[in-house]
Amino acid sequence: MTAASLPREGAAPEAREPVAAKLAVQLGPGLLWLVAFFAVPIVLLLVYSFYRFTDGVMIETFTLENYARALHDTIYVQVFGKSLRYGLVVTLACLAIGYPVAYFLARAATRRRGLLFLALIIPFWTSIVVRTYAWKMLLGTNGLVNYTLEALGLIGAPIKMLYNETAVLVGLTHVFLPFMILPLYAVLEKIDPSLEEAAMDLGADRARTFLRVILPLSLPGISTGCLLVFILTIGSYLTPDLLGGPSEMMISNLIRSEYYVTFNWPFGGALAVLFLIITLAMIVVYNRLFKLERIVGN
Amino acid sequence: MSDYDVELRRVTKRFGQVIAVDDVSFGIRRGEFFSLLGPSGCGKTTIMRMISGFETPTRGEVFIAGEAMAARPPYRRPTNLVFQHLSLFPHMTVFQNIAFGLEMKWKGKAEIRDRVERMFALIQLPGFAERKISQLSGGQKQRIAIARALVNEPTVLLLDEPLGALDLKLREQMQLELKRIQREVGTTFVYVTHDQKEAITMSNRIAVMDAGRVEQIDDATTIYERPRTPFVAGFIGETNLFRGRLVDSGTVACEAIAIRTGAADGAGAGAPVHVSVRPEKVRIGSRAEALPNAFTGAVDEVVYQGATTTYRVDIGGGLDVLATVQNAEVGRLYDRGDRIAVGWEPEAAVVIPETAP
Repeated sequence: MTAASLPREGAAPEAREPVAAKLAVQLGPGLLWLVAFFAVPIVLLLVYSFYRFTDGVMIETFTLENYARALHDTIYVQVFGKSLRYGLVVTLACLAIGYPVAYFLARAATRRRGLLFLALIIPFWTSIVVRTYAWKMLLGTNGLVNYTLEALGLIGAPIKMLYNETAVLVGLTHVFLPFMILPLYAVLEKIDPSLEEAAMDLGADRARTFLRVILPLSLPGISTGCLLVFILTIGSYLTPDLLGGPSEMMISNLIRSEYYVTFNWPFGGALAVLFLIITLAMIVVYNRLFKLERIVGN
Repeated sequence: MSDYDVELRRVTKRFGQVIAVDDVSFGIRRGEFFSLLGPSGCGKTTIMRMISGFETPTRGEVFIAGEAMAARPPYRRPTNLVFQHLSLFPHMTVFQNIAFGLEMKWKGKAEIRDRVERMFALIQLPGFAERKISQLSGGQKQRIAIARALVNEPTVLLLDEPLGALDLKLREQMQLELKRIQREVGTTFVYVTHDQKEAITMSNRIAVMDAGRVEQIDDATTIYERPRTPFVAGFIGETNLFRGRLVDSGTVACEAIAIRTGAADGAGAGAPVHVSVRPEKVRIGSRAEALPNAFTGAVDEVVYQGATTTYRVDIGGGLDVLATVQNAEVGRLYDRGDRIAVGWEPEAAVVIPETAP
């Protein structure tokens, strides 16, 4: 917030007071906060990750064995792989479900749009814990879904729908869907409907109008939404913890268990650092692709 | 078959309780430059959208080249539209924009290149193929939008006030340009506008619309010289409109005065009529005194317009007469308060029946 207001302030001709003082006042609090609660812990994490851990005790001698173990032990690699796969599946699911919703919102009459937006935002007012427990009540052995199916005579005995991959993916998709819809909406809303009419006038049916005009013009929104949902998903902790079984453990659950179950801070630190590196690498790669997209598209 | 490229038969369009187009029938001839002219909300844009397929008539039918269009979506009609805001695809180059329609019809690469190239020649913008839309000026975008539509060789080209966003000078240039393009390709143009000057400059025929109805369809001269309804007389150019009763074919009693008029057809003696006299047909001063219609009054207002000056003269009985005269000499002839004569020939006074025929 402070950073965003800086250029405007600086541009005002009468603002000739010491720039340094102004910067300190405007950036200071945020910067202090970040250093104290973000930079310092990250550095500590990094330092700890190179410490030895033997017999339940952290020894302050340099070692790379934590990283070696994380990268060689198939269990950890699998958890990383699974997290990335979940990220991909949830992102695609959110895109598939969110795109039509965002398009509908963008083309809805202004009068109705407020109400529709409210429906989209209201879930944000509810804690993610509550929303995830709601899924438990829906999907549980005695949950609403099983009850309904049984009552309709479609199934003889309850189906096990909780504590598996599907439950986690469904829960994650639900939680992160708005993060896909909002950026998509922002872009779609700016696409002049007359461009669609122009395409149709020139002989494009609905499908080709979408593929040749709407889709390319909405790429920035798709890109932002996918990045958001993907990053949020691979880092998610609560949903796999509540809706998944032991084999649905994701990176964050793994790191937590190292910290609070086995108290192996060095190894947990190493996992966290690796996770951070992977995430940053993916963002860099993604950004490259996205910029390329923009050059090609615009 | 009919010579009409576009024909509307008893077309009505309602939006909820609002009647946008009210039982309209007319035909547009092959190769014609046809304008739909009227104030905003008169239904002209709705008619255009029904021709292009973006709206369906509530009642009645649209025919294009003799074929009923009822069930045809816009992408399967032989029409193309130049949009009001042009609506060029911002993510495509100029070439890709113009080629879009041909690609949609699965034309071969060589044919597409050929036809787009010909368009560049027609709109006189060679070497613009790889430009981005954002790099174009208003006038250039205009031409590209026309090329993007015309490259498909439509039976009818529809233009929805495409010159509205341009400044006056460029607009006048583009009017001539459009006329030239239309002559060269010979396609039927349907031009939607609220600008009467634009319609008069470019059209072979003009349909003047008001409140969902067509008031008159004629060539520009007839529309201007012989308006058939009070609305047309008032909308196209300036006019003096007097209300009165027809005494006989050639005289209209209006308040305390009698106006000698041209032949009145479509109205019998005693019928309520309007008389329209164009300000530039009104003479003033000594040139007015001997005319069959001559009145004296006080100059009420003088508006200097460069080439012409318009005088408003109060001839009594609550009647004002606007007279527009050429400024052949330097300096004003009259000032406010001067008493002068105004007059006009009977042929300059057009009788318009109260109710449109």
